[in-house]
Amino acid sequence: MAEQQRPPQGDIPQEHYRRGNRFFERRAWDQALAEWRRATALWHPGAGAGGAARARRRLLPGVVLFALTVLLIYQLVFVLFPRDDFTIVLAGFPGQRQMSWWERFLDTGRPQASRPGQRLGIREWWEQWRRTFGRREGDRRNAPGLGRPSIDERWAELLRRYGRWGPLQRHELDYSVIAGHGLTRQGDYDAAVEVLQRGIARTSDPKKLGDLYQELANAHYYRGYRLQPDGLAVYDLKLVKKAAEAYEESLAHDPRLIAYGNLGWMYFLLADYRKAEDFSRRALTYNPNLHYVRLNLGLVYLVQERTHEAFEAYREVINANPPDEVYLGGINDLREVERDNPGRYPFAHLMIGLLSLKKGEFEVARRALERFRSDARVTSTWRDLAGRLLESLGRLERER
Amino acid sequence: MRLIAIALSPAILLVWFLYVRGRPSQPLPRRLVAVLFVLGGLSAGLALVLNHLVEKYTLFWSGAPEFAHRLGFWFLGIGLNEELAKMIVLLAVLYPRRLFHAPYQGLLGAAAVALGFAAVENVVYLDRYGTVTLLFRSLLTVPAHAFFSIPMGVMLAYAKRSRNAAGQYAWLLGALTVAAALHGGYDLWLSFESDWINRLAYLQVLLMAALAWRLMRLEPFRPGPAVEGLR
Repeated sequence: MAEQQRPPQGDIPQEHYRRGNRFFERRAWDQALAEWRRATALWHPGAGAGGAARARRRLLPGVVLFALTVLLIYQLVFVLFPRDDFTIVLAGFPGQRQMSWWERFLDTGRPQASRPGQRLGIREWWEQWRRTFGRREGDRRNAPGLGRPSIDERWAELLRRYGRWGPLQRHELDYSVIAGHGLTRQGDYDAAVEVLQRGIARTSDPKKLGDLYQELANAHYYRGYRLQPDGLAVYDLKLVKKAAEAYEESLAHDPRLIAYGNLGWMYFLLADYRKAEDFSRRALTYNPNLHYVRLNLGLVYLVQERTHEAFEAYREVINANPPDEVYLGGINDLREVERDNPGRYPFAHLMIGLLSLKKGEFEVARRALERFRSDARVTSTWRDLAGRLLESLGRLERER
Repeated sequence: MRLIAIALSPAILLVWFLYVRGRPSQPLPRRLVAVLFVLGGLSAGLALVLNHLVEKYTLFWSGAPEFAHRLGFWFLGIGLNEELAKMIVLLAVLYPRRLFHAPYQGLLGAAAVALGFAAVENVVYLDRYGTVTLLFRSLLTVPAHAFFSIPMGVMLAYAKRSRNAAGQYAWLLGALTVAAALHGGYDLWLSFESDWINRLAYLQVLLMAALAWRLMRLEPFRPGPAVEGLR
């Protein structure tokens, strides 16, 4: 057998190998490869299935080590950057229809990536970069008394810088807007309304009219706004109606995003839910990151008992991770709804629970979720969700 | 059906180009290239699952408020997941084969897997975003997928050539890191609203094409350990 495998005389593997090398130097790849193959075949005549298995075994340790490293990387990603436990519970919760296991798996609970406006511009990118990596420096810069000019100093600086270039001399500033704004900030709403109305009568410039009507709307709105000791507000609906009319005028002269969002809220207060939904949706089309508008929209759905849509709206806000004051505003709005319609909307408690949970107010969240779960009108699916949220709340409390 | 054919054709054309442009000294059977292309398409399913796991269970997602988390999503989410899915196919099908010994074979194999992946993605995107997106993807993203993976394929050839486990491990890890970084960077540029940052993605594709062109000219290795003792 060994005799048969021996290469014939004159056909020496070394010779083929060297010849291959010479071809290689002359960049004759095909011939080089053919010679090397011949050399290999002569040197290892028995290299067949066994040889292949040996070669594969030789590769195994490196591949196994590599696979273990990849697993470690994933382990680190999932352990070091875990998502909030309860938002995962929300993500797996069926929305407006029955979902299969696969659909439930695919539902990350995050807003759709393709939605316009989600991509950020360079300014936001820079701002977030600074916020993420330059937090300490930013904190120092923003500390009180460290180089931040007062409003008076800033105003004097603006006058010094721009006054001599002409805008003040050419009367480009609308003093009615400035005075109206200042009076509203001071709480002198009647004077503000008077000044602004006078300004409106004097001008025909659409941009200035847009500003004046917007300030007028704010003056009317805050004139009818009373903050109560419990942190909730009461509204004079007649003045809210006037504010809404002024905002509509402002939109007619100079459409702007803030007016759409605020009109959504005002029509909610006026119980005109169709208009409230329409304006809120329009504001969100222009900027999906207006979280307070999305909360208003959720509220509009909630009072119309469109619970799945309300849930989606609140879930989107929670997943977007806005600052705490957004949650606080949402919670207060829900408490106002509950105050004005006690016991009528059980889902208000679920949403209060969700927002409080996200805000870290676990006791408030627990009370709200338990109240929601104990309501007889709540179906088993929602009750189950509340139960799972309470479980994850328990885990969060233990971790704390 | 016609649209699906249009969605698939850029990827098939590119594989065909790389195959016929292939070096006779570093051949890869046509059938194996086809198998790699199909398995690359199937690997898109694995990538989908991995992407969803990362998006669902970690803080990394494309709209995360923290920029660091968005970076994590593009590089450790999309980049790592999609390139790992492609690499698994290469490690399972091409890497252990005795005939796989040369850089161009790795390049062609990786490109076939990546283009299979891009073809399936194209069909999904066609369904979701329509023909305009398809056109953009055909011109830019389909070749980009190939270019992300081409260095990985070449590095697999180097890994196979390594004599010990440590060298092999370093090449494999390097292959995945390079591919994930290229992929993550490309997605990151495209995630901004600023046009000039988006243009960095086009620039990256051009640079990757130049790199791929350079890698296509790599010479075959001298024989490995089998005849090394003859030297």
